[in-house]
Amino acid sequence: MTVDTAPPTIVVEGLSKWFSGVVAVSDVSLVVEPGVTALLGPNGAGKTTLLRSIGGLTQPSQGTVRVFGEPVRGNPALYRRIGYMPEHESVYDFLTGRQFVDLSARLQEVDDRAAAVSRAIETVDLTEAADRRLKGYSRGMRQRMRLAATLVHDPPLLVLDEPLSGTDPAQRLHLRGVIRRLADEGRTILVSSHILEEVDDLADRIHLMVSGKLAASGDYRAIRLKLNDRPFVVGIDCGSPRVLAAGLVGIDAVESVEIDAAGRLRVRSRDVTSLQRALPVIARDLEIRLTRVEPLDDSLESVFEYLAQG
Amino acid sequence: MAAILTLTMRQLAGSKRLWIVLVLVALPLLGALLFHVGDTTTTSAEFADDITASLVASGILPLVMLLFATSSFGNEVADRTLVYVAMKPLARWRIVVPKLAASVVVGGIPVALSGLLAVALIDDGSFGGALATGAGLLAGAAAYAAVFTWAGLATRHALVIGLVYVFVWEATLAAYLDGVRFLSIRRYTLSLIHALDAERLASIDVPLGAGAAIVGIVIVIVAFSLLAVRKLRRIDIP
Repeated sequence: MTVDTAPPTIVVEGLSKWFSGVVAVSDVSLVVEPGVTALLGPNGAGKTTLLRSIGGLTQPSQGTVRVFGEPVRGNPALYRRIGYMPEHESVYDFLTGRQFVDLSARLQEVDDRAAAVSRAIETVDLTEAADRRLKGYSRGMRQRMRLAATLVHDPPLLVLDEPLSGTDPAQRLHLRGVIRRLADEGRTILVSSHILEEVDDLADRIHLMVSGKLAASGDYRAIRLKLNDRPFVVGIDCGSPRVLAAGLVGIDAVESVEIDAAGRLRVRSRDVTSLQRALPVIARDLEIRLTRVEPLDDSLESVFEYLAQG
Repeated sequence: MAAILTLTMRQLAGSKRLWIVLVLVALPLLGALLFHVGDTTTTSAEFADDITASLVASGILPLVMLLFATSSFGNEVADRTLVYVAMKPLARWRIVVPKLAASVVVGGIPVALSGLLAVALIDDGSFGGALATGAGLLAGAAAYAAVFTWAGLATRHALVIGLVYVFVWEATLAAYLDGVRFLSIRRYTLSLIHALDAERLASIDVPLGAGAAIVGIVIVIVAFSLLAVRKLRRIDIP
């Protein structure tokens, strides 16, 4: 297989998509080149809608998508060069795994179909289960067999929507290896995920989406640095919140301290490690008993929201 | 196209609605047996015509085709498996045609055979009439398949719209209003049976000649197949 690296594989320009007044994707422009590119963002960020637009499954409300230099919507001939794995797990569950992959190979008019099917199934390490019906597969096995069907025609572009979802750690490790190897062979692979760590050593480049917009782009390290630099909010329950608040505002690690209606301290800090060290010392010196200390905004959504602002 | 035909036939034949269809398909044969067992003053030709026109062509055929043809795309839209077929390097007509054909094979052929056998059983030795009935029903099945396949792709309410078409339009409006009586697949089907064997349906009001019936059926099949291809090109694949 040869891949022309001169033009980007995917070019998205000013793409927006809205449904009944709800904006799913807003003015996104990006290019995707050979290697692994991750589309990262929380659920509802618009990743799937963007991938569906790139796959030509949905008509953008505005903007354009070109794949291998051609418009993808209404251009089924292009699907010979694209392998698309949708997010949802629906399959023809009355088929066996092998029949499912074979169906894909037949519709792709693959030469030497039997060999291609066996090779694809072997790639995802499901040879032993291949002749069982998909209905009896676990979620992770189903994901892997769907990946086999996606790559059976050896396409130079793979678009994989949450391919690691539902897999156990061993399966995840294996699939990451498969995806990495396919990319190292020269393919372009666009993969979506809502977990940063899932794509850390997998993706060469990460595009971060939040609320339908492209919030940041870069490699894993750049995204991770931004992540570590964000302010944290820590909730503290204790016997004398006002006294402890007065003690905390004096240390460098603390940006601000608030006391909410329930008498709980909300401490904002950019240096959680220093705060972790200082807090028990201050509490001991002030003779205050801490009953609970917990991060309040450590959810993935809050991390993404912060990065989107940055 | 064979792959999509086989896939769709397995989808349709594997569904629970197959049992409903088997019961419906058995009804004309049951009627034929009762005709021979019971005591009736109706002639065999009249009874065969009644079974064909009132039971098979007006009820069983459109209902069976409605159940199957709306599902050939409708099921894949509902369970979101259509993407596995749609994202393939196939001209869209190469997806629509086998989908349509599958519903004819799974639904239309059993109904046509049921009608054929029922007429042969009722009207002993009338194989010409039986074959005409089977052929006419099969042509009608293809026309219904085209309409309902398109409907299954175009709307989530295809079953309701199909029922309105069959029981409001065909059974009521097209039956009594002269202006629209030519816009009915049921009419084309009955007219074609009569055209193939002039002794069949002689007692039934059959307003169209052979040419008009064939043209009507062909227009319906071609027009709704093209509409389905156009729809498949334009819809957002779930």
